[in-house]
Amino acid sequence: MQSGREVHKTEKKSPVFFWFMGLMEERLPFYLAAILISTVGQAMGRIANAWLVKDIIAAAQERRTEGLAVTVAFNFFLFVVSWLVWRFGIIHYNIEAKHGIAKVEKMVFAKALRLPMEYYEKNHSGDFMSRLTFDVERAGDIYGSRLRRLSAAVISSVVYLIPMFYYSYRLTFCLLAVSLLSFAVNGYFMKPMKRLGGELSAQNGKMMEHLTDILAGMELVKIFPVGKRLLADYEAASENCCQTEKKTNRLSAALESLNCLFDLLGTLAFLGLGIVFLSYGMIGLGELTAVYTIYGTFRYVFLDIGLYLPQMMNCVANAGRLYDFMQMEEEPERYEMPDTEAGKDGTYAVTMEHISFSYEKDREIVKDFSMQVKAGSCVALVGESGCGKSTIAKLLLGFYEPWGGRISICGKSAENASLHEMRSLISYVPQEPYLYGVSIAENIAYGSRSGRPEEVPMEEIIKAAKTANAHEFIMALPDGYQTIPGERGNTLSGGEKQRIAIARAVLKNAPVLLLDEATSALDNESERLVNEALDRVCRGRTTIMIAHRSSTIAMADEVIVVGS
Amino acid sequence: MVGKRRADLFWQTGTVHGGLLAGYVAGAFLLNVIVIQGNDYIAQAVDRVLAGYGVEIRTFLLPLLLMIVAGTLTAYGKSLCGKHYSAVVARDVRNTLGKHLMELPFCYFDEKGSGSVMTKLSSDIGEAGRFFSEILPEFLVNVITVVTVTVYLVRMDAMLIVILFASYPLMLLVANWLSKRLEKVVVKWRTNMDIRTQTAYDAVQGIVTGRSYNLYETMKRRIDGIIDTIADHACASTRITSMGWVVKNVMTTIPVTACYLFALYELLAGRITVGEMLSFTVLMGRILYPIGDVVFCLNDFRQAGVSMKRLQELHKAEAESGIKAEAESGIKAEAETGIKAEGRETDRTADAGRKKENMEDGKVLVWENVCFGYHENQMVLNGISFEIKQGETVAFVGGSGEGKSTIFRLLCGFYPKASGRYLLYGQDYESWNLQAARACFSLVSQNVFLFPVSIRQNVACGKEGATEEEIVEACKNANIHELILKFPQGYDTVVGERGTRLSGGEKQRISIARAFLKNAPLLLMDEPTAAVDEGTEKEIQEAVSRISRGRTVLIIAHRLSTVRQADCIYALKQGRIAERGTHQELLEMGGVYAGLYGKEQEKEQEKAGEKEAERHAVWA
Repeated sequence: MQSGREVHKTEKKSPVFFWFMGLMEERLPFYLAAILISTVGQAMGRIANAWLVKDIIAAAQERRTEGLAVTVAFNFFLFVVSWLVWRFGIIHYNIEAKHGIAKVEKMVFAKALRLPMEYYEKNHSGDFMSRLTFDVERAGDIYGSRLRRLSAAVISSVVYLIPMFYYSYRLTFCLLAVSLLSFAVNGYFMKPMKRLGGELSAQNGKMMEHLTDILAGMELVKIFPVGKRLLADYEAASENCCQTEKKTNRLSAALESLNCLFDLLGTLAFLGLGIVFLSYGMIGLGELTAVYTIYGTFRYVFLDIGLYLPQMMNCVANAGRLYDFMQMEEEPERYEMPDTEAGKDGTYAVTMEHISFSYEKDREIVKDFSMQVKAGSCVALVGESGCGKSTIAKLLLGFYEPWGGRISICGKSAENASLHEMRSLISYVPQEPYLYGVSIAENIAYGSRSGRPEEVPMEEIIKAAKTANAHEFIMALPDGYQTIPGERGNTLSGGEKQRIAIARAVLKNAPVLLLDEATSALDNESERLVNEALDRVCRGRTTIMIAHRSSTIAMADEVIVVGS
Repeated sequence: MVGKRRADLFWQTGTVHGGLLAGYVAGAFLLNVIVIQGNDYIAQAVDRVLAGYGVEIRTFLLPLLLMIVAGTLTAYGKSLCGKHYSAVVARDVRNTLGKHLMELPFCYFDEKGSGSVMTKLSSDIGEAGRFFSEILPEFLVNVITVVTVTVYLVRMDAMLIVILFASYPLMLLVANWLSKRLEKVVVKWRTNMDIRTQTAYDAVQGIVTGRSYNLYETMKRRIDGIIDTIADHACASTRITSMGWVVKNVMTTIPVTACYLFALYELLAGRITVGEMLSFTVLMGRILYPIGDVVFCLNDFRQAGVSMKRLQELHKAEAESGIKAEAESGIKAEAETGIKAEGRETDRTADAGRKKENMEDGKVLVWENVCFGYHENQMVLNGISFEIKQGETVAFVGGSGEGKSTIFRLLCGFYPKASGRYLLYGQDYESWNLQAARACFSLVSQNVFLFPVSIRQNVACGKEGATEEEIVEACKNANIHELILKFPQGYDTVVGERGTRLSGGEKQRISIARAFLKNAPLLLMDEPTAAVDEGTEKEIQEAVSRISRGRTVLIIAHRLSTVRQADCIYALKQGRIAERGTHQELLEMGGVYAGLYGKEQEKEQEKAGEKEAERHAVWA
């Protein structure tokens, strides 16, 4: 696909991060505030702890216990307050984060439904599924944990520095210098971490593709010896993922060991400096202990910055994949087509003039095709298999942009109507009907032009089903209209599915009826019933039939032969 | 034994790579010791300094530097072990489940949907992986930290420990209560994620219908609702976990503070030194958080446990019955698959030959009173009986929804029959190894499924290790070779998912080519000429008669004219065989078949009349 371009694009890291944060929109300030509050609360708690320890040590040093009770009580009060603040912050932060993730999920899903038809034909649905599950989840980690951890580390570093400076600015200054050194080293890991994150994401996509292949082609897997190959593909992808993870692991292990090194080095630096400062009487033992207690935590959080930054970059790589996905071109609202005079007066319901189209450059499917369909007439498109009949239907539905020529439906053309409007004028019954994983009633109601299928009254659904001769078999099902056809639709026969699809078209009640060999999967009896139904539906409507069978053609007023 | 092994998916994969976990734990332990020793060392130095003694820098630094180097290396090894552990466990679980997926019966997918499987193999594996990379190692390390530090502290003052752990029982109770509540929420959360994946998959698969019916808004509403529910569950789980954090902090800080005060008391009483107290403070800081974490990781355990249970559920799902037989003779099966294709061929025919001995009068397929229904309370097949002899061509005809395709699915063992008898080559189907039984069938189904790979690979599905010549030969026999060559990329043309860019006739013939390549003795054809025009029908008909030669053929047909030549025609009505006989016999019977045939003939006549209808070719 366009992996080469993707890699190039995701190199620009900061825009992706800011773009991703921007997706939170109006919730972003609340989110950031919640991070700040929770972090401050948490740090306050720790500082209170440090104070307490300091006071106790000082008391031990001076062997004096007066006022200790007050100090302890005060610090306890501080604990409670900071915990409450912390919890308040953390809950709100999480709620905002979860909503942010939901927002991203919705956005990715909506995008996945707005791409040009070509995308669905050329790309694997596993690719999209991987973005919706894996990439959203990993990128969501930015909202959910990475950013908080990182900014918490930054904020607390600053918060811890303040009392440290207060106790001894000279010592703190020296310690900070040691820490900055570690930070610089950690920074080296950012780039490779991000690259590996992108790799892992792409590999996960591949794994998902192989998985969907196995799931969708289960019948073939069982009856043909293809399962082994699919499994081998899946396992290879799984192994790839594992290897990339291992590479990432090596990097993060190196990071961790470096941090351990800096941890001990820090202790050493502290000790050395402490001894020197003590011997010069520049610091008291109580202060030194307090600084040490804070420094212990400070060192950790400061090292965390170095640790979390590369991890964050790893997630930003996933956000980058989402970014690329969101940048993909969508199906336009309408295609650029010259206006057409034909059809404006209402004699012709559908006109196609000089339409050319091909999927790939060197195999032209439709070449300078024209047809005019009178309003209220019934036209059959016939021609050899592979001559482009179905493609013409798809062009009429605006699935592809023709290379040249113009189309008008009921006087509407690209000039004055959107694809949405044009499509609302056509009731389409495809060759292989698709039933959604919702009840049969809802499947039929999806035909509704109102866009609110849940509001379609049951009577209307039943009426449509009766017109399509589907009512009886639906009622014979154990759950009747509430039956949910399985994914493979195994519980319904081809003819039954076809009739549900026709009922959907009936409910849509559009002026133009487009049938792509709607009766092919039917036996003679159901075909008779459906044709009878179609006769009923076609009355007063313009019908275009794509026909392989002569019996279908029999109904037509006019036959158009497609082919060279 | 098989059952037990399967039941413990994680136990097994977890223990196989247990060395890595052990490495991690050992590393963590070592690291802890080094850190404690280091701090102890420093504490002693502090003591000396405070007591007014000097510190010999060189003798002091050398061991410390050694400790630093050892610590760094240990940290690297520890971290690598822990993370690799999770990576390899996740991989093994994925592979085990992938393999298991192949063996699951159709009803599993009918019931659960692909969405659930996809969520499990991506999201839940990730969550389970987190268990192995973070939760479990952290737990172990925390336990070790707490134990080692505690041992150290006990040596210092046993009373401290009593104070420190006083609140433990209460903490355990609270943690347990919270984590149980959490688990409930997480189960709902995950279930909704299944639905989300399923819905998204559904919407993308049905994009053609979705576009033509302007269903964008409807689909968006559908999935947005689910995503909102997921977010609600996620927030609910947050409330519980954050409650856990707060409780954890309160319950650890109080005893720790008490400990400090107690240490102060001890110091004032002169039982410990300032240096000891300092060291005690440092150590206390080290176990302050681990103490709470050990208890409250119960939350994480339960949360990851939900995902692991879901994966277990997939793993435990009963495999197709015939597959198990093979699993038991695993070595034999492996050896068999290792043999080259030809070897397998002879093996199979030998197998069939052996089976033939049990066959009466060449009856390849025998059904006696077979019943079946997809739903319990709705039977599709109500006692079907037939006998098919080797080399016969039989046809099943009848209305839509009478169970014709269902018969094929049962023949292939996609679904198990509810009752009755099914003999394949004279042997009960149940006693067959399912894969060997399926090797006897080729299937050309109504809706052809193509993988989104090249045409070559799609045809090659028919036979393992098919050569280029064999593929071309099969395509020639299926009358599709020339058409394929017309494509710019020929055999390398990639068909989109579900082959959207090929016409029905083209797909049908690719599927026939597959069947040619498989070269199985029994051929099942579900409506092979439904979706094609008359010109192509002739070509397909030709291919069909070519492939039927020397095989036992079962064919489902809606148009009776295509099956006139069949040796026997079964007319189905309400899940029963209403009539059987040759075309002529059935016509004379004047029953269901004759009625259907009469209607078809009428239509054919009409059509003949229509041929003179107005007709214009649009381009030359």
